[in-house]
Amino acid sequence: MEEITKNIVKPETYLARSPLYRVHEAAGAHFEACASAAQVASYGDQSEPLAALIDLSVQHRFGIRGANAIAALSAAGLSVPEKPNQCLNSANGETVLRLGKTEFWVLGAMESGTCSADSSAFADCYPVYCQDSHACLLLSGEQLPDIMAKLCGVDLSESVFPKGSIAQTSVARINAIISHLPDKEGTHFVILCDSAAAEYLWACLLDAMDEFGGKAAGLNYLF
Amino acid sequence: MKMMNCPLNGLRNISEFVHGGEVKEMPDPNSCSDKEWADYVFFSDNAISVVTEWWLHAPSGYWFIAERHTGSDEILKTYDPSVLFSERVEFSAPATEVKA
Repeated sequence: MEEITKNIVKPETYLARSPLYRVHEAAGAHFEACASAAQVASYGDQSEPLAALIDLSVQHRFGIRGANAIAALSAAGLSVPEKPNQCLNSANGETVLRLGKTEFWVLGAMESGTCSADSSAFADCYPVYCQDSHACLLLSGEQLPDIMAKLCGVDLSESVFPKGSIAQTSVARINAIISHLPDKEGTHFVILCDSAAAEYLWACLLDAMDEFGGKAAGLNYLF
Repeated sequence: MKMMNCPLNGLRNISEFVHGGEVKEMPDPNSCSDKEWADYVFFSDNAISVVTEWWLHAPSGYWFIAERHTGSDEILKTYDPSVLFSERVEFSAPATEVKA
Protein backbone atom coordinates (compact mmCIF):
# COMPACT_ATOMS: atom_id res chain seq x y z
CA MET A 1 0.00 0.00 0.00
CA GLU A 2 2.81 2.36 0.92
CA GLU A 3 4.49 1.53 -2.38
CA ILE A 4 1.40 2.60 -4.32
CA THR A 5 1.14 5.92 -2.43
CA LYS A 6 4.76 6.63 -3.25
CA ASN A 7 4.18 6.22 -6.96
CA ILE A 8 1.25 8.63 -7.20
CA VAL A 9 2.40 11.80 -8.98
CA LYS A 10 1.25 14.97 -7.24
CA PRO A 11 1.72 18.57 -8.39
CA GLU A 12 3.01 19.53 -4.94
CA THR A 13 6.03 17.22 -5.42
CA TYR A 14 7.39 19.64 -8.03
CA LEU A 15 8.43 23.29 -7.88
CA ALA A 16 6.96 23.96 -11.34
CA ARG A 17 3.16 23.75 -11.25
CA SER A 18 0.31 24.80 -13.46
CA PRO A 19 -1.71 27.82 -12.25
CA LEU A 20 -4.66 25.40 -12.50
CA TYR A 21 -3.28 22.54 -10.42
CA ARG A 22 -5.75 23.04 -7.54
CA VAL A 23 -8.65 22.97 -10.01
CA HIS A 24 -7.38 19.67 -11.44
CA GLU A 25 -6.87 18.13 -7.99
CA ALA A 26 -10.37 19.13 -6.90
CA ALA A 27 -11.77 17.54 -10.08
CA GLY A 28 -9.97 14.25 -9.34
CA ALA A 29 -7.40 14.38 -12.14
CA HIS A 30 -4.74 11.72 -12.57
CA PHE A 31 -1.24 13.18 -13.03
CA GLU A 32 1.89 11.86 -14.71
CA ALA A 33 5.42 13.24 -14.55
CA CYS A 34 6.22 15.33 -17.64
CA ALA A 35 8.80 18.09 -18.18
CA SER A 36 9.83 18.07 -14.48
CA ALA A 37 6.26 18.72 -13.34
CA ALA A 38 2.93 16.97 -12.90
CA GLN A 39 0.94 16.94 -16.14
CA VAL A 40 -2.75 15.97 -16.10
CA ALA A 41 -2.87 12.60 -17.88
CA SER A 42 -6.59 11.93 -17.55
CA TYR A 43 -9.69 12.70 -15.57
CA GLY A 44 -10.29 9.24 -14.20
CA ASP A 45 -12.60 6.91 -16.10
CA GLN A 46 -14.38 9.51 -18.24
CA SER A 47 -15.37 8.48 -21.75
CA GLU A 48 -13.83 10.23 -24.77
CA PRO A 49 -15.51 13.65 -25.07
CA LEU A 50 -16.32 15.22 -28.46
CA ALA A 51 -14.07 18.13 -27.60
CA ALA A 52 -11.42 18.27 -24.92
CA LEU A 53 -9.78 21.04 -22.92
CA ILE A 54 -6.28 20.08 -21.82
CA ASP A 55 -3.99 22.08 -19.55
CA LEU A 56 -0.46 22.14 -20.98
CA SER A 57 0.80 24.96 -18.73
CA VAL A 58 3.65 22.93 -17.23
CA GLN A 59 5.10 22.14 -20.66
CA HIS A 60 8.20 24.16 -21.51
CA ARG A 61 8.13 27.26 -23.73
CA PHE A 62 10.33 30.28 -24.29
CA GLY A 63 10.41 33.40 -26.42
CA ILE A 64 13.00 35.54 -28.15
CA ARG A 65 12.81 38.81 -30.01
CA GLY A 66 15.12 41.21 -31.80
CA ALA A 67 16.62 41.85 -35.22
CA ASN A 68 18.69 38.63 -35.04
CA ALA A 69 15.83 36.35 -34.00
CA ILE A 70 15.14 34.88 -37.45
CA ALA A 71 18.80 34.03 -38.12
CA ALA A 72 19.22 32.61 -34.60
CA LEU A 73 16.18 30.33 -34.88
CA SER A 74 17.30 29.01 -38.26
CA ALA A 75 20.80 28.39 -36.90
CA ALA A 76 19.28 26.39 -34.01
CA GLY A 77 17.41 24.20 -36.52
CA LEU A 78 13.98 25.62 -35.72
CA SER A 79 11.43 26.48 -38.38
CA VAL A 80 10.70 30.16 -39.02
CA PRO A 81 7.13 31.03 -40.07
CA GLU A 82 7.11 33.35 -43.08
CA LYS A 83 4.84 36.08 -41.72
CA PRO A 84 3.68 37.38 -38.31
CA ASN A 85 0.65 35.55 -36.84
CA GLN A 86 1.67 32.19 -38.28
CA CYS A 87 3.00 29.04 -36.61
CA LEU A 88 5.08 26.17 -37.89
CA ASN A 89 6.22 22.82 -36.52
CA SER A 90 9.91 22.02 -36.25
CA ALA A 91 11.51 18.69 -37.00
CA ASN A 92 11.88 17.82 -33.29
CA GLY A 93 8.21 18.46 -32.53
CA GLU A 94 8.45 22.01 -31.19
CA THR A 95 6.01 24.60 -32.51
CA VAL A 96 7.36 28.04 -33.40
CA LEU A 97 4.87 30.92 -33.12
CA ARG A 98 5.68 34.14 -34.92
CA LEU A 99 3.87 36.85 -32.96
CA GLY A 100 5.43 39.91 -34.56
CA LYS A 101 7.99 40.85 -37.18
CA THR A 102 10.83 39.95 -34.82
CA GLU A 103 9.14 38.12 -31.92
CA PHE A 104 8.93 34.34 -31.67
CA TRP A 105 7.66 31.94 -29.01
CA VAL A 106 8.64 28.28 -29.04
CA LEU A 107 6.30 25.67 -27.51
CA GLY A 108 7.88 22.41 -26.41
CA ALA A 109 7.11 19.12 -28.15
CA MET A 110 3.72 18.02 -26.84
CA GLU A 111 4.58 14.42 -25.99
CA SER A 112 7.72 15.18 -23.94
CA GLY A 113 6.76 18.74 -22.96
CA THR A 114 10.33 19.95 -23.38
CA CYS A 115 12.23 22.30 -25.71
CA SER A 116 15.63 21.50 -27.22
CA ALA A 117 16.93 24.92 -26.07
CA ASP A 118 15.82 27.96 -24.07
CA SER A 119 16.10 31.70 -24.62
CA SER A 120 19.54 31.82 -22.93
CA ALA A 121 20.90 29.84 -25.89
CA PHE A 122 20.17 32.81 -28.16
CA ALA A 123 22.80 35.27 -26.95
CA ASP A 124 22.22 38.03 -29.51
CA CYS A 125 18.42 38.15 -29.04
CA TYR A 126 16.30 39.60 -26.26
CA PRO A 127 14.74 36.83 -24.12
CA VAL A 128 10.94 36.90 -23.79
CA TYR A 129 9.76 35.10 -20.68
CA CYS A 130 6.49 33.26 -21.21
CA GLN A 131 6.67 30.17 -18.95
CA ASP A 132 5.01 31.01 -15.60
CA SER A 133 3.57 34.29 -16.86
CA HIS A 134 1.21 32.42 -19.17
CA ALA A 135 -1.11 29.45 -19.00
CA CYS A 136 -1.18 27.17 -22.02
CA LEU A 137 -4.48 25.43 -22.79
CA LEU A 138 -5.19 23.07 -25.65
CA LEU A 139 -8.61 22.75 -27.23
CA SER A 140 -8.94 19.60 -29.25
CA GLY A 141 -11.80 17.87 -31.01
CA GLU A 142 -14.78 18.90 -33.09
CA GLN A 143 -16.64 22.17 -33.56
CA LEU A 144 -13.87 24.30 -32.06
CA PRO A 145 -14.74 27.37 -34.22
CA ASP A 146 -18.34 27.19 -32.92
CA ILE A 147 -17.14 26.89 -29.33
CA MET A 148 -14.77 29.83 -29.71
CA ALA A 149 -17.41 31.95 -31.46
CA LYS A 150 -19.20 32.18 -28.12
CA LEU A 151 -16.16 33.82 -26.51
CA CYS A 152 -14.20 35.58 -29.22
CA GLY A 153 -15.03 38.25 -31.83
CA VAL A 154 -12.57 36.97 -34.44
CA ASP A 155 -13.86 34.37 -36.92
CA LEU A 156 -11.85 31.18 -36.30
CA SER A 157 -13.56 28.98 -38.89
CA GLU A 158 -11.32 26.83 -41.11
CA SER A 159 -11.83 28.98 -44.26
CA VAL A 160 -10.36 32.14 -42.71
CA PHE A 161 -8.31 30.63 -39.87
CA PRO A 162 -6.60 27.59 -41.45
CA LYS A 163 -3.99 25.38 -39.78
CA GLY A 164 -0.86 27.40 -38.97
CA SER A 165 -2.76 30.64 -38.24
CA ILE A 166 -2.49 32.70 -35.07
CA ALA A 167 -4.98 35.23 -33.72
CA GLN A 168 -3.90 37.58 -30.93
CA THR A 169 -7.18 38.83 -29.59
CA SER A 170 -9.62 39.02 -26.74
CA VAL A 171 -11.22 35.77 -25.50
CA ALA A 172 -13.98 36.12 -22.88
CA ARG A 173 -12.70 39.70 -22.43
CA ILE A 174 -9.12 38.72 -21.57
CA ASN A 175 -6.10 38.89 -23.86
CA ALA A 176 -5.10 35.61 -25.45
CA ILE A 177 -3.04 34.14 -28.25
CA ILE A 178 -4.89 31.45 -30.21
CA SER A 179 -2.79 29.20 -32.46
CA HIS A 180 -4.29 26.68 -34.86
CA LEU A 181 -1.69 23.92 -34.71
CA PRO A 182 -0.25 22.87 -38.08
CA ASP A 183 0.45 19.32 -39.30
CA LYS A 184 -1.96 17.57 -36.96
CA GLU A 185 -4.98 15.46 -37.71
CA GLY A 186 -8.15 17.11 -36.45
CA THR A 187 -8.46 20.61 -35.08
CA HIS A 188 -6.25 21.76 -32.21
CA PHE A 189 -6.18 25.30 -30.82
CA VAL A 190 -3.49 26.27 -28.35
CA ILE A 191 -4.62 29.20 -26.19
CA LEU A 192 -2.01 31.18 -24.25
CA CYS A 193 -3.39 33.59 -21.65
CA ASP A 194 -2.18 35.41 -18.56
CA SER A 195 -1.60 32.81 -15.82
CA ALA A 196 -3.45 34.98 -13.29
CA ALA A 197 -6.59 34.65 -15.44
CA ALA A 198 -6.17 30.92 -16.12
CA GLU A 199 -8.87 29.70 -13.69
CA TYR A 200 -11.34 32.20 -15.15
CA LEU A 201 -10.63 31.21 -18.76
CA TRP A 202 -10.66 27.49 -17.89
CA ALA A 203 -14.19 27.88 -16.45
CA CYS A 204 -15.32 30.02 -19.42
CA LEU A 205 -14.06 27.48 -21.96
CA LEU A 206 -15.64 24.53 -20.14
CA ASP A 207 -18.93 26.42 -19.99
CA ALA A 208 -18.77 27.23 -23.70
CA MET A 209 -17.87 23.62 -24.61
CA ASP A 210 -20.60 22.03 -22.55
CA GLU A 211 -23.36 22.25 -25.18
CA PHE A 212 -20.99 20.71 -27.78
CA GLY A 213 -20.15 17.71 -25.59
CA GLY A 214 -16.78 19.14 -24.54
CA LYS A 215 -15.06 18.27 -21.27
CA ALA A 216 -11.77 18.71 -19.40
CA ALA A 217 -9.26 16.01 -20.31
CA GLY A 218 -5.61 15.05 -19.91
CA LEU A 219 -2.73 14.47 -22.27
CA ASN A 220 -3.85 10.85 -22.79
CA TYR A 221 -6.71 12.21 -24.90
CA LEU A 222 -4.15 12.99 -27.63
CA PHE A 223 -1.84 9.98 -27.49
CA MET B 1 -19.02 47.75 -32.10
CA LYS B 2 -16.52 50.29 -33.39
CA MET B 3 -13.64 48.66 -35.24
CA MET B 4 -10.01 49.59 -35.80
CA ASN B 5 -7.56 48.20 -38.31
CA CYS B 6 -4.38 47.03 -36.56
CA PRO B 7 -1.44 47.02 -39.02
CA LEU B 8 -0.22 43.70 -37.51
CA ASN B 9 -3.44 41.85 -36.64
CA GLY B 10 -6.11 43.29 -38.94
CA LEU B 11 -9.59 44.56 -38.13
CA ARG B 12 -10.41 44.23 -34.42
CA ASN B 13 -12.95 45.51 -31.89
CA ILE B 14 -11.99 48.90 -30.46
CA SER B 15 -12.08 47.38 -26.92
CA GLU B 16 -8.80 45.60 -27.75
CA PHE B 17 -6.97 48.92 -28.18
CA VAL B 18 -5.46 51.40 -25.73
CA HIS B 19 -4.88 55.06 -26.57
CA GLY B 20 -1.27 56.20 -26.14
CA GLY B 21 -1.41 59.96 -26.75
CA GLU B 22 -0.29 62.24 -29.56
CA VAL B 23 2.87 61.56 -31.53
CA LYS B 24 5.15 64.48 -30.62
CA GLU B 25 8.74 65.22 -31.37
CA MET B 26 10.84 64.76 -28.24
CA PRO B 27 13.08 67.69 -27.32
CA ASP B 28 16.65 66.78 -26.38
CA PRO B 29 16.29 66.01 -22.62
CA ASN B 30 19.88 67.11 -21.99
CA SER B 31 19.64 70.57 -23.54
CA CYS B 32 15.97 71.67 -23.46
CA SER B 33 14.50 73.93 -20.77
CA ASP B 34 12.31 72.57 -17.97
CA LYS B 35 9.32 74.31 -19.56
CA GLU B 36 9.92 72.59 -22.91
CA TRP B 37 10.26 69.19 -21.20
CA ALA B 38 7.12 69.70 -19.07
CA ASP B 39 5.26 70.75 -22.21
CA TYR B 40 6.37 67.55 -23.95
CA VAL B 41 5.54 65.25 -21.02
CA PHE B 42 2.31 66.74 -19.64
CA PHE B 43 0.51 68.79 -22.30
CA SER B 44 -1.20 67.88 -25.52
CA ASP B 45 -2.65 70.09 -28.27
CA ASN B 46 -6.17 68.66 -27.95
CA ALA B 47 -7.16 70.28 -31.26
CA ILE B 48 -10.26 69.43 -33.29
CA SER B 49 -8.49 68.20 -36.43
CA VAL B 50 -6.82 65.14 -37.84
CA VAL B 51 -4.29 64.04 -35.20
CA THR B 52 -1.49 61.47 -35.30
CA GLU B 53 -1.61 59.24 -32.22
CA TRP B 54 0.03 56.24 -30.61
CA TRP B 55 -2.27 53.23 -30.11
CA LEU B 56 -1.57 49.86 -28.51
CA HIS B 57 -3.15 46.57 -29.57
CA ALA B 58 -3.19 45.09 -26.06
CA PRO B 59 -3.47 41.33 -26.82
CA SER B 60 -0.31 41.42 -28.96
CA GLY B 61 1.48 44.27 -27.15
CA TYR B 62 1.95 46.02 -30.49
CA TRP B 63 2.29 49.82 -30.67
CA PHE B 64 1.39 51.56 -33.89
CA ILE B 65 0.34 54.96 -35.20
CA ALA B 66 -3.16 56.02 -36.20
CA GLU B 67 -4.48 59.17 -37.86
CA ARG B 68 -7.84 60.10 -36.41
CA HIS B 69 -10.18 63.06 -36.69
CA THR B 70 -10.96 64.20 -33.14
CA GLY B 71 -14.27 65.78 -34.24
CA SER B 72 -15.86 62.82 -36.01
CA ASP B 73 -13.71 60.16 -34.23
CA GLU B 74 -13.16 58.62 -37.67
CA ILE B 75 -9.94 56.60 -37.97
CA LEU B 76 -8.43 57.59 -41.32
CA LYS B 77 -5.39 55.31 -41.41
CA THR B 78 -3.14 53.17 -39.25
CA TYR B 79 0.47 52.19 -39.88
CA ASP B 80 3.60 50.67 -38.34
CA PRO B 81 5.79 53.13 -36.36
CA SER B 82 8.74 52.26 -38.61
CA VAL B 83 7.17 54.64 -41.17
CA LEU B 84 8.05 57.58 -38.88
CA PHE B 85 10.83 56.15 -36.72
CA SER B 86 13.68 54.51 -38.56
CA GLU B 87 16.17 54.18 -35.72
CA ARG B 88 16.19 53.38 -32.02
CA VAL B 89 16.14 56.41 -29.67
CA GLU B 90 19.05 56.18 -27.25
CA PHE B 91 19.12 58.12 -24.00
CA SER B 92 22.54 59.13 -22.78
CA ALA B 93 22.98 60.81 -19.43
CA PRO B 94 24.74 64.20 -19.54
CA ALA B 95 28.40 64.01 -18.60
CA THR B 96 28.74 64.88 -14.91
CA GLU B 97 31.89 66.02 -13.22
CA VAL B 98 33.29 63.49 -10.82
CA LYS B 99 34.21 65.09 -7.52
CA ALA B 100 37.46 63.96 -6.02
